[in-house]
Amino acid sequence: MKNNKTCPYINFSWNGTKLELYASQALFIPSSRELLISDIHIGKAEYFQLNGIPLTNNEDENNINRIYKLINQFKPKKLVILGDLFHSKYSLNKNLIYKVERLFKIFENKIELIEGNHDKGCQISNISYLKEKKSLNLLFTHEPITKKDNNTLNICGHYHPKLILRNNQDQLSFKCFAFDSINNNLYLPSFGDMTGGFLCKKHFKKWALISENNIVEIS
Amino acid sequence: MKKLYEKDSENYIRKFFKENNWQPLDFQIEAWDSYSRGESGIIQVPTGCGKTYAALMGPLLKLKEQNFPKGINILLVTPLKALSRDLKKSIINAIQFFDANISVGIRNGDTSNYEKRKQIIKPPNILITTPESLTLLIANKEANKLFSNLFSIIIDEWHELMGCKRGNQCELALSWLRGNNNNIQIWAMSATMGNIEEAASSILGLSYKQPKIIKSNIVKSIEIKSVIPDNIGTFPWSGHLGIKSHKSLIKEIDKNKSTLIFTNTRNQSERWFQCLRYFNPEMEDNIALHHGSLDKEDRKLVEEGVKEGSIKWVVCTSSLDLGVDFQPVDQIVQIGSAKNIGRLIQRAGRSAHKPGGISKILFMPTNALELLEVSAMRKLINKGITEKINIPELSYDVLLQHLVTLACGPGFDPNIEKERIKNCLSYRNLKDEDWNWCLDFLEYGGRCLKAYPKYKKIEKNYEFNNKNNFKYIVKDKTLIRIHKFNIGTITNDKSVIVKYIKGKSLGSLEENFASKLKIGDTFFFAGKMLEFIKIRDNILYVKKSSQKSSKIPAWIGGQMVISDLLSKNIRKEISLTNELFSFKGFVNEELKSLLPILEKQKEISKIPSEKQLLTEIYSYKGFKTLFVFPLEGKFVNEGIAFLWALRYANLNKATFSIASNDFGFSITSTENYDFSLLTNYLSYFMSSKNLSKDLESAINFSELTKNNFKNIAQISGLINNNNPSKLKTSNQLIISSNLLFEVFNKYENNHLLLKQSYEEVKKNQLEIDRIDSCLQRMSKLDLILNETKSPSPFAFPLLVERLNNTLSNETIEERVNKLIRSYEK
Repeated sequence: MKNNKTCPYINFSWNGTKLELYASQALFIPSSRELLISDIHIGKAEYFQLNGIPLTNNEDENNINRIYKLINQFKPKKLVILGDLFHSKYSLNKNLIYKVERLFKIFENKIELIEGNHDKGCQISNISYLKEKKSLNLLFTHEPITKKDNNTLNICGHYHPKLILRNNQDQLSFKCFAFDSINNNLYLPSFGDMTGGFLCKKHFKKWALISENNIVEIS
Repeated sequence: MKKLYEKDSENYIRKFFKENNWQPLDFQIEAWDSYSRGESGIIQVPTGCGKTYAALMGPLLKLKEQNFPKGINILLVTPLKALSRDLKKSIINAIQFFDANISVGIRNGDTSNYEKRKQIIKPPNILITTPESLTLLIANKEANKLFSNLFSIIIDEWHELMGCKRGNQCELALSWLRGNNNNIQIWAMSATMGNIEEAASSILGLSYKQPKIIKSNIVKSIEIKSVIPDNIGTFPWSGHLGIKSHKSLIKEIDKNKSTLIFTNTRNQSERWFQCLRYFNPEMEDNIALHHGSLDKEDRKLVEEGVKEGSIKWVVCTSSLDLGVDFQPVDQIVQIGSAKNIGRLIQRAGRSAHKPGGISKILFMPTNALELLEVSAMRKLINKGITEKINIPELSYDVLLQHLVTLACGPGFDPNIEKERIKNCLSYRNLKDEDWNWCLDFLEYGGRCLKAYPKYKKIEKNYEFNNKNNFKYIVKDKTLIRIHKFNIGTITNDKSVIVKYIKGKSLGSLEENFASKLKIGDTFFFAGKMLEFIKIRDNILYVKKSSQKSSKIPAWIGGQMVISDLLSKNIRKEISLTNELFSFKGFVNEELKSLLPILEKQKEISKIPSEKQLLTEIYSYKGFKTLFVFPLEGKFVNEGIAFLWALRYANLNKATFSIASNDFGFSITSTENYDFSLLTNYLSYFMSSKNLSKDLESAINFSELTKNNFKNIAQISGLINNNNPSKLKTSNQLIISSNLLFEVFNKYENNHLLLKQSYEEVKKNQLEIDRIDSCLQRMSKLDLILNETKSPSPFAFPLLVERLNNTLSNETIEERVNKLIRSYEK
């Protein structure tokens, strides 16, 4: 890390399309005013509770509030959720469903949802899942798509990219954005505050989310 | 079936002894008498003195009298699987005389599933098991039936279990067994320890008044001989290895005798193994290595090799402290101080396994001052004094595990169970409030989760037609299976398996060491030079290498700390050496060999008496260092070092670096720092006021607590590392203990498990009680503050230690050598 100043977002350009990678775990596309987040895993704590492990995040209070905050901050045309909004159909309960339905109602016609593997069987009124979405020279999916052509960038979730910074005495791990230049995939960090992650492959380009308003390129 | 002819039971046992040409020993007769009176208690005799028969004969006789009631009648609990076979042999030997119809079974992790099922359907009269397997039996729905006719429990090597959470686990299991059946007689066997009364009440419960304590009058003499290098001037000062004096050691040990060479850490054992084999090439096939991180199969091979006699020397760690049915070996070598008298006695006991025999142990010091330790140890052993073993108190994690175990098995009534548990020594201070918290935690997930209907672990199961009586049970079969897979209190750090690329497994390494390896790096492990190839799915692939390398993995937690009892006596020993100079007679080899060093200490600074606290200030190349010698254990010294550094900084801002060992500590700063502030502010430095608070701000407390919480989360069932492989859901249930730690901190900051983690760190890692009493002791001493021109012999090891933590482009050896040269002038 070269400087000590915090940096809330980093620019990433794809064949003329500007993307902004935010430390607040979202990606913003100024030209289309689309805001992207991924892998929220609502109901994860409840899933653990169901299995005898008393974990809580106060019914995803923080996750939902952060979504409201982002929408108010960016005032996007569309909020696109790249899958895994929910953790499991077994752990959805009334309160959680109510919270999500309310969110979708308030921002009616503004939220688009791509179906992730965890969303299977999570049916909620007013919500329909998309398989994928095209926008400009970008393709939004949940799971990464292997390279189709050189011009399209695939923005996806699913992977929960993480990285570890370490020296002799210390090590810390961070969520990150990751870019796979071989397959043209840009991975979003997982948005949920209870989500774990997987280490990035070596050739990935990475941007670590150090704090809520500091993102740093790692080379 | 034969009836018992003799009413006088002792006579019958005597017949058995006569048949074998044995003479019953006094303590054995005492134990049989006591058992026949219906008493319970503990037998404290050195290993290999026949305590098994002392504890076993009474129950066997009773078994015969009672005509084999159904279910398990006698339960034998041993800390090690390896001991079971030995025990079974002794038992079979006896029952052939008593009645061949008595059945004996072994149940532990190695027992086949088929065998286990058979044992449930038709339980053996005598069952030999481990604490973990016993707990698993209690988690069985048939537990009540299995144990309904249990009348005797024997616990082997209780001293091995008592000091750790496995001890808590046993205590709780015993409390349930006792509660189920008032007439059970419980006997434990233990090596010598300083608090045998407490040991007895830990297995019998507080309500059992005056447990019988049987001590033998057998004194097993232990002869300690130190290997003293020819020239004390070349004696290694520090670097806890002392490998340089290997020649003196090799001269002393016989190549044809079976020998155990004990080291204190796995790292040290690897080094010594490498060294001994290098200098004795003709013995290549006769030297072996044995430590806890090596592959199980390889360890078994070594054990068998020793039994057959094909392997002569085994370099080992505490992995061979007990168990492993070795014949007694001929020679025992201890490299470096054992730091604990109990441990030394145990290790010495691996030779001359006969009552009345003399155990000999050869001691190889790894730094000069360790000779003082041995001198003090010998005196204590001759007086028959050993350390206390403290059982961990209020381990809520083990308690939670126990309650789920009961709920998986026969279920429990909270009012009855509470009384049973509060009757345990280590839970005597359990508050009602905390008990209720534990129930809440298991039933609702804790205070913060009370409103969440989906949580389930234990549930109330009401009696038919009775709304007031209920038992807690676990209904969900998957939860029961997961729980059973994770019973136990032994937790492991994350490790990776080391394997040859062609397939054979060698053992395991800590993840931390593995993560620093690059492709092509070579390192020494399992006695072999290996080259790192790749790491996949937690397996580190290697191939053999002929390259030279100095990398030897280190394992966390390898360090042994000097016991309280021993450090106290070392202070005495040092004080005593003051008189050595005027005393002309012979004292002992160790002190005699130390005279030149002690003289130097006296010349440069001073040898402190018990009433004095020695401190020294020494300046060198722009640095100034304060040396303090409280002569406590390393961790206590380190704790005080942090505390004093903080207090110095409060008085006069500066940055410090710190080093510590078992003798003392050093605080280093820049040349112009005035350490003599100590004399003016002595009471401030010695004050116990704000001790916890000051330590917390000096040491990264929350990080330590978080790390320690890993184990607690595992034991209390929050993290399940082992899952039945068929379970689909297990992948979605992976969570890090760090996240749990943060969640609990955020939503329930007076969480009992967080509190426990904090207390454990304070007690076990920082030893805050010892720090407190050390400060109190030091505050009564006369302070001696010497400015020295060169580092004193006491200070020297600390100076070397500190160099490990500073930056320089010279190697450590070069820098140490330089220092030695400037010092000997």
